[in-house]
Amino acid sequence: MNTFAEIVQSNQAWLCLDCGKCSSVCPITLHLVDGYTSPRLLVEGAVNSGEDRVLEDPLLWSCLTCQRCTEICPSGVQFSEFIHDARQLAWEKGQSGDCTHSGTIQSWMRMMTDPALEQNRLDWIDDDLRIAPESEVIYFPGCLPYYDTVFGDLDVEGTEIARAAVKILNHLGIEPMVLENERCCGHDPYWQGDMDTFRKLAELNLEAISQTGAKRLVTTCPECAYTLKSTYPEQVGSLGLEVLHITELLAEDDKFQKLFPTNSPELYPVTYQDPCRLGRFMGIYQQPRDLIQNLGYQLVEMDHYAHTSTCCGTSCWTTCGQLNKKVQSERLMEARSTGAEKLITSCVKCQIHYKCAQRDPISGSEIQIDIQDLTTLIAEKI
Amino acid sequence: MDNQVLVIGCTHAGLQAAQDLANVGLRVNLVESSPFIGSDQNFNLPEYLINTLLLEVLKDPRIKVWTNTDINQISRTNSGYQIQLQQHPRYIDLSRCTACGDCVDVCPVTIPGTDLKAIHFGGQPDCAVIEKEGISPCTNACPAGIHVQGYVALINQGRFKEAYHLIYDALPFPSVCGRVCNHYCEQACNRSRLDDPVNLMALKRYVADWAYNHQDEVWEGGKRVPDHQPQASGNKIAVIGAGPAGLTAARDLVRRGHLVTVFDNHTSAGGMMRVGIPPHRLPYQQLDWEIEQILSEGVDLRLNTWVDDIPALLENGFDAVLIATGAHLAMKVPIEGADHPDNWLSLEFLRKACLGEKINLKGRKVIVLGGGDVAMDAARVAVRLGTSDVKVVCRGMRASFTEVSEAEEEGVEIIRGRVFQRIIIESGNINGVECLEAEIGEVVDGKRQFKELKDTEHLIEGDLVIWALGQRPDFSFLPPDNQISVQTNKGIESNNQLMTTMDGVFTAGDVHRGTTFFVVDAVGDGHRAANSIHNFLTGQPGADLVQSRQEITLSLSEMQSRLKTRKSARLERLAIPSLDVEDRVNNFKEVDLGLVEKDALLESGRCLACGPCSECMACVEVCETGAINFDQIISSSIIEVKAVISGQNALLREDIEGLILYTSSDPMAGSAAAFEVIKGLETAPAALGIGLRHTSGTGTKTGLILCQCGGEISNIVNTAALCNEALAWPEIDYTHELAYSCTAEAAEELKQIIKEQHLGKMVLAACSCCSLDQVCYSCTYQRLRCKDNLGIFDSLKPLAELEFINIREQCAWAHRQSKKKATDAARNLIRAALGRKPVIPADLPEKPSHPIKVLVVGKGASAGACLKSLASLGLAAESLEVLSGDVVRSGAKFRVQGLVNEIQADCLILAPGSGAELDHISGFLKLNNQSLLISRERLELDTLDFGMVLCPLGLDPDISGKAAAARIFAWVSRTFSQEQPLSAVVDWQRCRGCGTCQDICGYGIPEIIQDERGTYAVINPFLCQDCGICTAHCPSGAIAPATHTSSELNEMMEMILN
Amino acid sequence: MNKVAAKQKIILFTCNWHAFSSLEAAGKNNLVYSPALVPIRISCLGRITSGIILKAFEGGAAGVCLIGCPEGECRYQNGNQEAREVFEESRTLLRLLGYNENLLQYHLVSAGDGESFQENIDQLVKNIQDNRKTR
Repeated sequence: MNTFAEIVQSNQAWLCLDCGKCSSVCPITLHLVDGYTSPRLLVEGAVNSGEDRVLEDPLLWSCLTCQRCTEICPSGVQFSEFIHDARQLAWEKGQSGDCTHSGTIQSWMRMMTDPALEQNRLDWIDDDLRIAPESEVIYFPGCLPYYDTVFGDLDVEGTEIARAAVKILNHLGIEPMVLENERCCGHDPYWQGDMDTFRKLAELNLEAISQTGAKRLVTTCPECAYTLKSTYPEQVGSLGLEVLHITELLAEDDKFQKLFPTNSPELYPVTYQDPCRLGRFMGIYQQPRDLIQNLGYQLVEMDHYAHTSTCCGTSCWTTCGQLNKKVQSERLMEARSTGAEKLITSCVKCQIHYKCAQRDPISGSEIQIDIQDLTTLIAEKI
Repeated sequence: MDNQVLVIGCTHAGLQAAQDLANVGLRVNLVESSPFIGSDQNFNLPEYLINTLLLEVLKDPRIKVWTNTDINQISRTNSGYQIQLQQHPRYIDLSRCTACGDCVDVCPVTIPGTDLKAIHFGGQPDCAVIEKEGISPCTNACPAGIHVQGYVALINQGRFKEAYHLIYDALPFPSVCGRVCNHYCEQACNRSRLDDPVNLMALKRYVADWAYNHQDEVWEGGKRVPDHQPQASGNKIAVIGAGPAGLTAARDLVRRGHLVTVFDNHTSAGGMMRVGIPPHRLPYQQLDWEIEQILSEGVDLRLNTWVDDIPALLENGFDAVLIATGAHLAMKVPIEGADHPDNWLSLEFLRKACLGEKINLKGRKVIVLGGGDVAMDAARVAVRLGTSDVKVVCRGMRASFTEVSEAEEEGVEIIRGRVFQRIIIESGNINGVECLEAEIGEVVDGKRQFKELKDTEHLIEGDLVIWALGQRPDFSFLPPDNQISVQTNKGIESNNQLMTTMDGVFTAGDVHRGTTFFVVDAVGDGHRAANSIHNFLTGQPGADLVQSRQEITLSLSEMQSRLKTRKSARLERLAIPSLDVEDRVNNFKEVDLGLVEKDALLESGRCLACGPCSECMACVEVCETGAINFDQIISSSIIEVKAVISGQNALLREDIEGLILYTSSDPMAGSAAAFEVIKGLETAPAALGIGLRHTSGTGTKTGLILCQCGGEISNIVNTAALCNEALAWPEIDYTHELAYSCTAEAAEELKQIIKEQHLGKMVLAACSCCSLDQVCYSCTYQRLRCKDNLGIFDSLKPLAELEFINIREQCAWAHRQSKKKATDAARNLIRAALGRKPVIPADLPEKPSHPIKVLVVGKGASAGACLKSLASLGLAAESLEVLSGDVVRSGAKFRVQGLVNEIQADCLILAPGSGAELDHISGFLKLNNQSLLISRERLELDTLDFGMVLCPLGLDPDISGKAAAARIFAWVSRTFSQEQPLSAVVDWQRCRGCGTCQDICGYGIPEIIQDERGTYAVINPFLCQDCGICTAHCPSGAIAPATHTSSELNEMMEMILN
Repeated sequence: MNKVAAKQKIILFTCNWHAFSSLEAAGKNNLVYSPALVPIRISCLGRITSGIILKAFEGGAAGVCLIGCPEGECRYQNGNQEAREVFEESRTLLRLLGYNENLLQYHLVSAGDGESFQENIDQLVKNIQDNRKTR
């Protein structure tokens, strides 16, 4: 557990030059209506005034940890990580953001820390899908089965994504194993600062996964991918296998060939939303685009794409509201303005948040656009 | 003066009118002649809603409910009406009765012709009432003040111990008055006009004998232990004379904390009872036992003491003196031969006999002169002392019939109509009495006249003459020079407080009356004297405070009908059996035999329960909160009102113009009547202040109060243990147990505790269950009152956050079978309550800027009436004859698609003209799918959508139009005048404007608006019902309900589970 | 209080109207129901969320009962229907999490009807306690 001084140090907050670049790109800062805060002010406050100043800044909880500011920072201030560390401090002090969805999601995540838990999370696997008790490849669906329940009314593609993933893997001759007692990867507790829950979850996953002796782990969720790949080794240890987001796997030559033997016919224009964790955190920009194009879609980019892509607007089921809705609405309008007929994303949370934003009795039509996950898009082609 | 209205009668119509009027800000006086409201009415409502309706009315601080009240007079004044109300006593303190029902269980009287006890419940307010039309004649007649009907009722239930206690409290000598009383009570008994009075004396004797034979039952260990020791006053009182008057006074005075010494010159106490009434009429061991009881209460008795210096008593430390020496001198007339030693005085003769001196009259010829009971006693004692030749010679016979007949059975010869001339003496012995015959004449000023007949001299033979011509007091012991003056031929002079002409010296009994009266008279005097002495010593005014109540006289027909209601009624009075002559003449065995239990039960069953309350005091004994008050009296009040609403057959003695009559008992008529009032008056809606939102106190500590409910709770839930245990919890700073929490006193105590202990939060674990202003289906009058007492319905905020939990129904009663489980359950509830948070007040929006608008939809005749009525109430109204689009509610407004454009309205009145039109209209209603159900089924105005009413078909359009207007106006006034509405509040920053709340709210209250802040929901706090459904479904958690926030519910669960 | 004790407890959510009235009526008529039940009264059963329900289980409750007003008699019109949906959703979540969904129970009762409250509640408690073993 680091002291405040240490986290200022370790995240290089003290290097801040007050240039304000971060503020200019921060989606939250952009949409503030009353009161003003920004990454710059917060970092400045951290360095000059210290912990209390930071703990009372609304940005501490409203920050999306989307990494836009970090991207652009000339001094290499690790803002997102700084926010994480600060939230961890706040959490120890009993502070937390406001849970969305009546705290259901946080509850199930905490409940998954019970080692004795025996989940029934595999019902989504249809008979036509082939999975193996032992395999070199693990498919890690994450919380998809749970999202089906909670977001059914938004008709979010939850386990459809999982089914699509296995279908594709099968098509590529892979019979993955799917863990019966997989836990939440812990991404959300981690970024909320709830390290206790995170560690418990991580350790349980670590144990379960490393037992399998598999070589690779594939997931359709960028957050799972990043957390298992990068956060686990820092915090609880390495899984001892290769962690991939499905787009990485499918972009591998052999798989790619197998998926797209011939050139597909020209299809309607679509645009693509880079998930923060997949893009800025893992640097995966090209693979999804290649996949989309090879499916025959005409990819039209939004004003903000790849490195400058805008976050889907809410993070780890906390502190959602007016601001976040604006970020989302604006992004949806941006998507529409490309002339695309579909917004493709490769993260179920982007889909959830956008579809939620589209429930809007007032400006509904201006932000209507079909939203689909890349994985199911690909599966359709098989 | 604010505008007051009188509503007569608690029919559904009356209650509705009262509520409508209260809602528009008028003060309502709701008058009901029965002790309960709505008890005997039929309501057009399900059971559970009736009760809530009644409680709503009782709760409303703007409605004063006058139960048990008659309208004496209504008179016109220039500003309205003046009403004379007469409220009959309920004999129960409404602020104390907890409706436990113990009183009903112990009440021995069932009201004739009903299955109700004389004390009973019935509807609301849920407080008992005592059926008491006045005072029973028997009770009224008893000088000693015995509650006669009471002990009869108790005897009839075989509750002899209680019967004895009841008698004993008024009369220290039940055994005596069960035998030698002249029973004024029986003469007064209503039944004596039907057939024969109840044999009250025999019943009293039965109880006295029973008590004597069950001494250990009557009093623990056979001795009376007073329930509380009186406060010692330090006053010393001397009582001269240990007779019924003296001893009664002595007992009363020690019971009031004074020190009493009783002096008597005889060798045993009891006065005339002991030395005047011979054993064959009164067995002494019972008397002696009863006197022992008196002494055991702390009376100091000095026998064989002749007091003849009263001033000295006062000088030597006595603060007051009571002279109760009786009348122990028998009189002789100075005729020739009257000084011969064989002339005996009756009282001396009886005294010797009573005290057991050996007197042998074998072979003597006894002549008793006189015709009173004393003469009879003397004669019959003479018989028992061995002579068979006893004559009673008198002018007229005054002794009681039974005495005379029993004497004759025993061989006593009664010679009436004689005047004695002289005692004939021959050779030193009495030879007889020479008499003249006399004719019995008229009674002239209270004295019977006799006319002596010339030349009728004759001799009545005998050798021993006993003089029994009457008794008078001995005044020789009084101080000289008339400091204590005596009225000639009468007793000691006194004022109306029985104080003699010497300050501090009082008198009672025969010495005051001047001759021998009956024991009850003496006892009555004793009580009065004691009272006067107490007042004298404590410097209180002498006046008698208790208002004397009307004596009840039953008509013959009434008595007949009461008899008919008896299952098995004994008709003829039981005579008292007596010993056969041969078994009694040679001894002093008691002649009269008592009743056996079976007969006592039968005879007591003859009582007609005149009261009907018998004043047996059983309810007073059992009531733990002291709610029963027999001293309540009829109270009259005068109120000034602006208007009067009354049911048709209300008691309007003379018809006064302007009175508003409602024509039926249904609520529609009530509202229509309310309309007539409202349109004529200035109204100023004043909201009900509900004092729960923020508290006025500054305390920070948390207290736990456990109500024992008089054992109902504490006998099962271990409240004492919880009290101690909870003190150790970190959440609690103070705990306390209360016998009852719903009495006014309790409320005062609680307020005190809150102040002294600096409580910011108080958990009250009782039967009271809800800290909201709602009257929910399970509410009770006591719960309302508890909250009322604590100021929750008061606009004054309570001093602390109050959390109520119900550990009676939910713990003590539901888990009666296991004290442990019940206590665990209570612990859980308490812990959960600790998790509760104070209710958050919603900020008030500025009152609706636009005037409230009502839309009247339909072509029915009532539509016109509605518009007219609304106009006269000053409500903006618009009419839409035909719907051409859906009717929805959104953003607190009804939105109706008219022909050209959308019409918005705050209220909706549906006024169809036909069933087809009604169907057409309801086809367009996109509100709650069942909105019209109730109104259609029950032909009522209210729909399930507040702010919308339906004028049912087939009713007088004028009535329903007015009613609808009044109901709408009342709703508007109530709704938009709330000061602290319970409402969900949207945090616009956390709101995503997704409209989920709008879609899900049963009333479409939330509205999505767009402004410079963005797009977000707003909830009209006046209309929001705070059900929490929107809160539950808001994806971002932007909506906080006033009650049961998520953090509160989570904390409650943690408190329960950890 | 230790978890063991907590594990015996069943949280009973009642609305303030029919449901609470029937609970009180049961007590009034001395109709014994399981002391494992700890009532929490909310204005309307529609206030309930899957979050609150999961929270109860997370806290170690043995089960959760939801008691509301009869169909069409919700004081707030649709609370009991909304609660029904939340109930179904929560059962699914519990099932996913490996809990026996019968540990969550739902029933509608009429005001003042202590008898049927007792019957139903006993059945609910029985269901819950039968399923305790399978957690």
